[in-house]
Formats: sequence, structure tokens, C-alpha cells
Amino acid sequence: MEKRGFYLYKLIALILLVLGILFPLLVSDQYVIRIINMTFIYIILSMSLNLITGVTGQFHLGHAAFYGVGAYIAALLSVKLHVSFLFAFIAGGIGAGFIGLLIGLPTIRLRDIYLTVTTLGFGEIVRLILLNWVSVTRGPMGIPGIPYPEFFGIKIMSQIDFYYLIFFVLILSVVVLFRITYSRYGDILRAIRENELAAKTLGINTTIYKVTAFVIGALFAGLAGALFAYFSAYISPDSFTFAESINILAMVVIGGLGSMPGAILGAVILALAPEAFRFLAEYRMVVVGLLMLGVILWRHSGLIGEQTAIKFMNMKIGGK
Amino acid sequence: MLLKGEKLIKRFGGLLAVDNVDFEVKKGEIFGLIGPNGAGKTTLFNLITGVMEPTAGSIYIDEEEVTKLPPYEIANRGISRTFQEIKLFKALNVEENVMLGMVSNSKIGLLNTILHSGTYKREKRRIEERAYNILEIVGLKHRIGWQAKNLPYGEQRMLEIGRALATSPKILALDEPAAGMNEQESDKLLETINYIRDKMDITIFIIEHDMKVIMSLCDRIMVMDFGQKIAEGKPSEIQNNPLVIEAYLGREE
Amino acid sequence: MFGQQIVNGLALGLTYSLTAIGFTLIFGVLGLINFAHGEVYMMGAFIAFTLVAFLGVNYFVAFLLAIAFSGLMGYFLELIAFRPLRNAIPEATLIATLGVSTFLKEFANIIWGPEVHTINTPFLSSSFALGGIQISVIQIVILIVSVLLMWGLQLILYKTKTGYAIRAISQDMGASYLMGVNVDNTIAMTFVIGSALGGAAGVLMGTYYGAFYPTMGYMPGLKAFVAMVLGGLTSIPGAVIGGIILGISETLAGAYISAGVQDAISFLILILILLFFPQGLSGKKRSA
Repeated sequence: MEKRGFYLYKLIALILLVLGILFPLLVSDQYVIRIINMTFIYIILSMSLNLITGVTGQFHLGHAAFYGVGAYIAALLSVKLHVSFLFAFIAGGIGAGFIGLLIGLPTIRLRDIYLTVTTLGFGEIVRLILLNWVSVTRGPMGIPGIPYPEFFGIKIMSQIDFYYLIFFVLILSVVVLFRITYSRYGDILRAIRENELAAKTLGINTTIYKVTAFVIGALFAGLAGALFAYFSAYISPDSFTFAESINILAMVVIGGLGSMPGAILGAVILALAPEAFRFLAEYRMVVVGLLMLGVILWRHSGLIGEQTAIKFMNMKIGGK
Repeated sequence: MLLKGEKLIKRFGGLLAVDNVDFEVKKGEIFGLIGPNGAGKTTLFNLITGVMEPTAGSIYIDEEEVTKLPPYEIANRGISRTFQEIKLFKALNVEENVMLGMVSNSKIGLLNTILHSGTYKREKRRIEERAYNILEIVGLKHRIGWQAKNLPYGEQRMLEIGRALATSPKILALDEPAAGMNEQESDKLLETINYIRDKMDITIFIIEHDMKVIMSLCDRIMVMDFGQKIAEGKPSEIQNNPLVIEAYLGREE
Repeated sequence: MFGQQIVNGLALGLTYSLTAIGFTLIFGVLGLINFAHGEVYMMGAFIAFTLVAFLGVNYFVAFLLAIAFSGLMGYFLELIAFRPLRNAIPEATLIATLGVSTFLKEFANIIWGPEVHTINTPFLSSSFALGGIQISVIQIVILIVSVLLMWGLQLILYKTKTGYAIRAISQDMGASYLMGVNVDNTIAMTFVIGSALGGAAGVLMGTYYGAFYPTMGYMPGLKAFVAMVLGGLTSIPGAVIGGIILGISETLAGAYISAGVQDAISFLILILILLFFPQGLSGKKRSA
């Protein structure tokens, strides 16, 4: 049954890992590294939403809210309570995961469009709370002066420092989400998406699995938010709008719903597109809109669809 | 008594789909359920597998009441089923469909999955081996690696049986497994069902329209019409029961 | 004070209703959400603004032209972003409409700029007192025009062949096709009608608040979506009532609680209602 040889995807992952480590040595432009840092954060967001929407099939339109919750928890803890980086970072993830649990438990039984509109409403409510609870969040003024991360005697200050910090978290996220997505556990989630009733009659408590996927997705979005807060040193509700939720969703769909390589590629494309089209000045977002439309008309199930990705995962080189 | 239904009633608005039905399925038998279209057979299956809650009445598995339990709880107490309208996980592979029948009582949890622990690897191997074993039983070993939706119709039905078997049920409930099968396929089906009962010691509860299948297979048969149970007995008794003959003949145009 | 809020809320709610009808019609025939609907609303508003402010066209003529233009936009929207994806997963259509939405917003940004424009309509913004309640002419116009458009829609849906076809497709697209309904044309017509109503709402709202800007369709688009869900997804009277409930509760929340709560209240109501009535307020259970 098992073919011998080496998985192609492992080789590609290894190459990407090495490239990732060497990148700041090859490219020293601060501006470029800053953009790459932001792209990495988007990859975490896109992969985490892919688990919820792509793999499990929960159409979720409020992912930016979890991103925002993580960012605000980390920012407030570090600015107001002077909590250390590691603690604030983890608290951002856990806090977002906890909110995910609170939202997920009552709403996950809602079907299709009702779940969609509820997550949309939830996202808007979180944004409006951030905007109006001025005594804590400072409202539209946002939270400035988020300190540099410091842990184990390391102080993260330059773009390159941030690069390695974010890259490390990215790799951790890829490994965890990859193992969940491409495993028996991921099969359960896909089965629930394909036919929830059949899954139930096989003894699977589908609610628990759906809520768990939702919470894991929220947790990683929260971690991404906490990273973003430290990275940009200033956050405001503007970064966590419905438009941002849609942006993350577009990354997942353009890449290919349910496909992790797709989610990564989608994030890279949509995070870099506004930069790549910067020469178009005010026309660049027009082009981004057309790009979204064009890609989806060209390939309905995304650039690397779920099945394509699974085939790719099984490809081996060497041996027979 | 392995499975027992007591005074089961299911009402949809003004319609009594299941009307005060009592039945018992004994361990080790093949128990058939027949009746004209719309007699309430599938609804009865939905009640005993927890897909629908009965309006009144009770259901027992091994003397334990399971009446209002959700489907996954009932599945974990030993009933597994197939569907009249095939409900495979279409995007998943043949073997993945079967393996999904095993995960609920395996030790593969979230944490083991993330950590790739020894338990995870052992369980993964165990589940894979058993899945291949089951695919052998239902005659689908040559389809490993195929997406479920690409199988021919008859094989999709066999795959659903394999998936249900994977949960290691005490009772396997089959809803019209021979529907849409050709002669050759339904022969293979008969053989498989007998094998499952004889060699795997699993009790069979089967709805079927194909009289050849039902008469040659079943130890006992229950007949439903308009939601009510109108007869029960051995195949030979059922064939000669005037009520049954009327229910079938009286409905023919 | 209370009566005043009700009047203001009703005017706001009616424009939500008009917007929501477009959403509901499209959801009815295709079961899909059109996220470019808010941008059709915005484009309708800007067309009227341009005609009035730059070309000196009479307001009501401009209004009618804007409606026609929005309907035309609906036609092209369907042609570009919906028809090619009819057999694809729903998420694909959603992203296509988001692409169109982004494009239109940025297009408006380039043509008209990001700033807020107004048109000077002294007559429309003048108001009179009725039993202690200030009522402006534009509020009366919103009331009359909304009722007329909704009445017209009912005529189309129940007295014309197109309306019959739209209702047939909402019931069962496959069967309608087999019965000889021209599915492609009917879906296109649904978009034309829905978008025309959305554009009309945009013009009225822009005039009412004296504000035309590229992102003006964003919130009303979301609110119309909420109104549609509250109304039970496919019910047009439901969407109208949903819109009015949202308009009035927002105005009341803004007046009696705080301006910050105003936008959140719609979503709060939505979530609460869905927790207790998982199928929406007047929704029938759709068979799965």
C-alpha cells in the first residue's frame, strides 16, 4: 500500500523554511521586511479561518473580531498593566479563543445563512464596542505606545527582530493547523461539512467538533492579533472592520476553500497585491477588486483547491 | 431483547407517520421491515437511530432506554445505519469514509493529533488496518484511494454499509440497501449481509422492497401500512397473510 | 420627543426596507447573498447627485434616471459575477460580488473623491410641525416613494408574466426551467428590479442625510442583509417589516441610550432574535 520515497510537500516545506530563515540576510530593505511581516500575520489569519470556513464549512464573516480581540487584550495588558510579552501574547490568543467559545456554543447550531449573519453581527458588535468603550479602549483614538516585546532577555526592536518572532509563530501555526487539517481529526471536520447527519449517526458529536474548530480558529486569529499589536505598536478599531473579515475570507476562497496551501497562497497574493500595484497609485484597489473577481471566475474552487491540495500532499519523489 | 420499541408514535402535523408500533429485534437475527411506499418504515428507522424524536413511546437498546438521546449517543450504544438516499462523505476517499466510522471510539483526540504522539500513530495504524479489513468484507478493496462520489451507485451503497460496520455496532440498520442494484450486485449484498450476521455476530434490521432479498434473508418480518404494524412473522407466514396481500395488492393501480 | 423619533425611525427604516427588498428578491431566486448591493445603492445615489449638482437636472428626473441606471447595473452585475458561477460553490459568488464591491467603491473614490458631497434642495429639507412633531418634506417623499415602489413591486410580482416567473423560480428553479420559464432572463430581471430599488434607496438616503460618499452603501448594505434575515429570508413583507423595525429601534437607541449604540443595536436585535427564533421572525421552515 505505502509507496516508498519522500513526500514532495516536505521537501518544499524544507526549502521554504530555509528561505525563510535566510530571507533577511538576502533582502535588507526594511520596508520589504515590514511588508513580509504583515504578510506572515495574514497567513496565520487565513489558515485559521480556513479551518473554520474551509474545512468545517462554517461560513464565518467576523474573523477580524477575533483578530481585534487578541490585539486589544495584548495591547491593554502590556500598556495598562505592564504585563510581559509572553503572557500578553498568550492571553491574546486564549482570550480570543474564549470569546470564540462564548459565541460558538449558542450559535453553532444555527444553519448556513443564519450562522453567517450572526458572525457578521458579532464582528460589527465587537468593532462598535472597541469604538465606543472609550474609557478602556480609547475609542477611535486607539492604543499607542505598545512596548517592544521582551522575553528571556531578548528584546525585539528592529524589523528583522520582528521578522524572526513572527516567522517562528507562523511555523508553529502551520505545524499545528496542518496536523489538524490533514489527519483523521480533519477528516471528521470535513465529514461534518459534507453531511452532518451521517456524521452524527456514526457516533460523532458534531457540535463539539464544530465548536472546537471555531475556538481553535479564533485562538490563532487572537495570536495573530497580539503579534500585530506589538508589531505595529499602535492599534485602533480601523484595523478590525468587516472589510478586514472579508479580506481574510477572500484570501481563503481565492486560495481554495479547505486547502491549507491555498490559504497560504491566497494570503500572500492579497497581502502583497496592494504593494505590488502601488505604482498604480489610487487605481490599485480597483485592480485588487478586479483581481478577486478575475481569479474566482477563472478558477471556481480557488487557485489550489481542496482536492488538488490533498493530491499534492500524497505526492512522493524518489522510490516507487 | 437487543432492540425494543414500545407504543412508538410519530406525528407530522395531521399525519400519523408511525402509529402506535411495538416491535422487538432479537440478538443474532435478521429482522425485516416491509410495507408499501409511505407506510412509515424510514420514519421508524429515523426514530430508532435518534434522527427524529418520537412524539410518544419508548425505545430500548439492551434494556436501556434511549428514547430521546441524540443520534451520536444512540450510535455509541450500538446502532449503526445506512440511508435510503445515500449520504456518503462525497469529497472524502473510500477508506476515509470507513475510518470515520471508527474515530468516535478511538483514542485519537485533538491533543494527540497536534502532538503526533505514540498513541496517535498506533491508533492511526489500527484504524487503517481495520478499514482495509472492512473494505475487503464489502468488496471495495480495489477502490481504495477513490473519492466516494466517483464510485458506481451499487458500490456507494456497499461503502455505506462498510462505514456503518466500522462503528462496531450491535445492530446494523439497513434502509433499502438493494435499491438501484443489479442482479449481480444484490447477490453480493445478500452474501455480505449473511457474512456480517454469521461471522461478525451483528444483528440486522433491514427495510427492503426487493421481495427476493427479503424473503431469502430474513428470520422474521414485520409489515407496516399507513403507519401501523399490520403483521409480523416468518417469511412463509407473511407471504400468506391476507392483510399483507391486501395492503400490497389493494394499492396497485 | 418619542413621536419625533418614531417618524425619523420610520423614514430611515423605509430606506432599509427598500434596500432589503433587493437583497430578498435575489436571495429568493438564487439563495445567494449579493455583497455588491450596497455599492449599487451608492452608485445610484451618486448618479442622482451628479445629475443634480453638475448638470442641473431636476431632482425628480434625476431620481428616475438614477433608478434606471441602478437597474442597468443590476443587469451587468448578474451577467458578470453571478451567471458564470451559477454551478460553483456559493462562496465563489460571494467573493465575486466582493470583488465588484471593492471595484465600485474605489471607482467612486476616483471619480467623486472620498469626501462627503451634498446637494442643495431647500424645498426637500424644509420641514413643518404637525402636533409637535417636526416632519421634513424629504421624509414625506421617502414615505410616498417607498410605498409607491413597494406597491409597484407587488404589481410586477403578481400581475405580470415576469413576476410569475420570478415567483416560480423562487419555489423551484429546476421545475421552472422544465416548465418553460426562461430562467436566465428572469434572474436578470430580478437583479434589475432589486438593484433599481436599492438605487432608489440610495438616492433617498443621500438626500435625507445630505451626504453622498463612496462608502455610504456599506452600513445600509449590512442592515438590509439583517432586515432580510429578520424577515425570514424570502418574504418581501417580512423584509419591509424587518427594515422598519431596524430603523425605529436604531433611532430610539440613538436618542435614549447613546449614539454609539445606534449601529450596534441592529446586530444585537438580530443575534437575540436568532437565538430564540432560529428561523427568523416570519420565516417558514425551508425544507433541507
